[in-house]
Amino acid sequence: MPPQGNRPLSSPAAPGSPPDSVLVLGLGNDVMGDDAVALHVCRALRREHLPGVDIVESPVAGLALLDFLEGRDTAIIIDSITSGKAPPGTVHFLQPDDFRGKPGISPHFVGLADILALADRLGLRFPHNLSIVAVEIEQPGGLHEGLSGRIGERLPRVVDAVRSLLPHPSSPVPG
Amino acid sequence: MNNQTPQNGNRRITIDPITRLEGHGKIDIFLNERGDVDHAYYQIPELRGFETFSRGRPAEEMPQITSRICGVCPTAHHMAGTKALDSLYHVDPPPTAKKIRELIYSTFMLEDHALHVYILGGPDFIVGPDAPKETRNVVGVINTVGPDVGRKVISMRKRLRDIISLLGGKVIHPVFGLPGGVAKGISRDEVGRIRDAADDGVEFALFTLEVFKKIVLGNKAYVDMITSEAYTHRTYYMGMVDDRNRVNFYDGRIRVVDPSGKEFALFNAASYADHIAEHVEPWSYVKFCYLKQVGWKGFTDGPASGVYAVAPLARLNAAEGMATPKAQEAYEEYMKTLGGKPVHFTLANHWARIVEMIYAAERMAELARDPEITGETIRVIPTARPTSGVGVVEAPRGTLFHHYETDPNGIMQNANLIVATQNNSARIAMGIDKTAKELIHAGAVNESLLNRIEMTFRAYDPCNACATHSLPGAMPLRIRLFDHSRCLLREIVR
Repeated sequence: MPPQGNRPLSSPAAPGSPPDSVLVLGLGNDVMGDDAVALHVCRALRREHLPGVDIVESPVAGLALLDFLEGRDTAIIIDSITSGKAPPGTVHFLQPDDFRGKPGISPHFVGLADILALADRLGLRFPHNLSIVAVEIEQPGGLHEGLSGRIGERLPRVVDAVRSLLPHPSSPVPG
Repeated sequence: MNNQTPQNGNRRITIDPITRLEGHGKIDIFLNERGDVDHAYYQIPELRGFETFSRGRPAEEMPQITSRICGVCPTAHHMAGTKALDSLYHVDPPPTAKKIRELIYSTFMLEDHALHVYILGGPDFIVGPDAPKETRNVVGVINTVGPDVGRKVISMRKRLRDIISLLGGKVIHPVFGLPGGVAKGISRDEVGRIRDAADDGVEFALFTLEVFKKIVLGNKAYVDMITSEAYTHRTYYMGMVDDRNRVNFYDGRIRVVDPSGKEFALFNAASYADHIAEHVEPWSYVKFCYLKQVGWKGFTDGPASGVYAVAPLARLNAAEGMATPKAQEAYEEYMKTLGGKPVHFTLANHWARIVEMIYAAERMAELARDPEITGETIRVIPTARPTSGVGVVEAPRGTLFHHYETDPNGIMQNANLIVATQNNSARIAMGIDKTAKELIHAGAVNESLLNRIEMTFRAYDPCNACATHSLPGAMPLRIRLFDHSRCLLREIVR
């Protein structure tokens, strides 16, 4: 998918909803090299002690995303992407609409599109503010830990990108 | 879908992403001059670097590391790894620890099987193999069974995962297993919640069986397809059994039956290498497992070929029955309806999976009521010098072996994993080839036929996952169709 514009999330939550912390959900696998980029972003953000931000790391996709997203109002998902259409390290800003309309062509994998369609069909409370930050990586090879130099160098930029999407951009709290 | 007519006149069709199974694979279908299938190849990428990755690490890390390899069934790897550590350190866990492990494991099996029945395999049967592809997805399943059932599935799954978290520390990277026992016991306060979820789990599994009967068995076309020759292989079957030869997911001996259902082998995990060998083909990275004592005779079935299967269909064939009452009833009905043991119909895996859901839930309920489950002795501290250890469990997708060798300080020197899909790889490859040959004639290929070829391997719920996570969620399944001059006619990436 082509990179999209950087669109900050609207805020606050819908009228009547309790004030809610923002979920930052990083997806990736720690033993598959650059696949773990989102986890590293989460760790960097956690060190900033951002108020009102709930940072969660997970290696899963599919239906398990329900567990994280259900009941939330605002969420940012960070993941890697291998579109092959942009250089490694490129940050893609995606919105749910970029995934919507695609469940029909993914009959046997429960992807984000399916999760959104499922939540809609079952009337689950799901984030009405949902953004996806995807970092272009090369196809991961064998098992190994740590990011490649190229992705590691881009990490601060990805962290900035995620921070820019927070509804109330806050200054990092020292410590 | 793009239809293009290249200059050479061959029609080339490209269908853009995205589908996925849990993992990724590639199917290449080669047509002959008449447009019939010459051969179909099924390939899965190899997980590279595991041995190197594990060498030099303390063995105690293995249950955590291996659970990270696979984002699909981390609990199975964690448990096989934990049992391999028991064996490595020559320690026998106390009864309470074994029961806690089995309780967690049964919960995991129920949750994972339910996911397959409703979400991954469901589109094939619940929505239908010939339904428009726009409806063959999770929303199509919900539309067929109704939103109330959908909410029930989602709610049950969440409760089961909560119990795994309660008992195991983390759903995704479980941490409960230690050599000689478990890290945490179960309090009496927690038992009630587990028991309630288990009882509801039994009801849910029985309900699922009714859904299956109504939608699948009530439709003659489906039944004819399940029992058709295209989806039939008369191979050996492997599965773990208890001391009365009943299915057991957590512990026991490995039993193998021949294509007539007669016991061929019964062995302990430690001697797996005497029974299982691996064959390599030039066109695939995958090592095809076969029975050493029968030998590799190529991709063929029958008693002379060492090809065998694992997973639900195979487990039910390799056992004499189920250890819990309602699962036993379902087992008997399954065997009777499908013509008796052994059942050779690949697509019967879906039904067998539901029989196993009932067993998993009933076993959960039994263990939750066992007075020993809240015992306080949950670990025996290992004192022996580590050497070599083998652990085995029945993962949702079949028998899973972990074999570790260490130096005297417990530092990993060698590791060997045989995962479920590797055990099944020869039969899956045969299945793809046979189905393609039965269904594609004179170059006539349509979406429904290709979906039926995919159905062959989805029945095994093959997990080739190396747990990378890149968007859109996985690496794809790729089906490529070539003409007799090896010219690509069509490619489907899902």
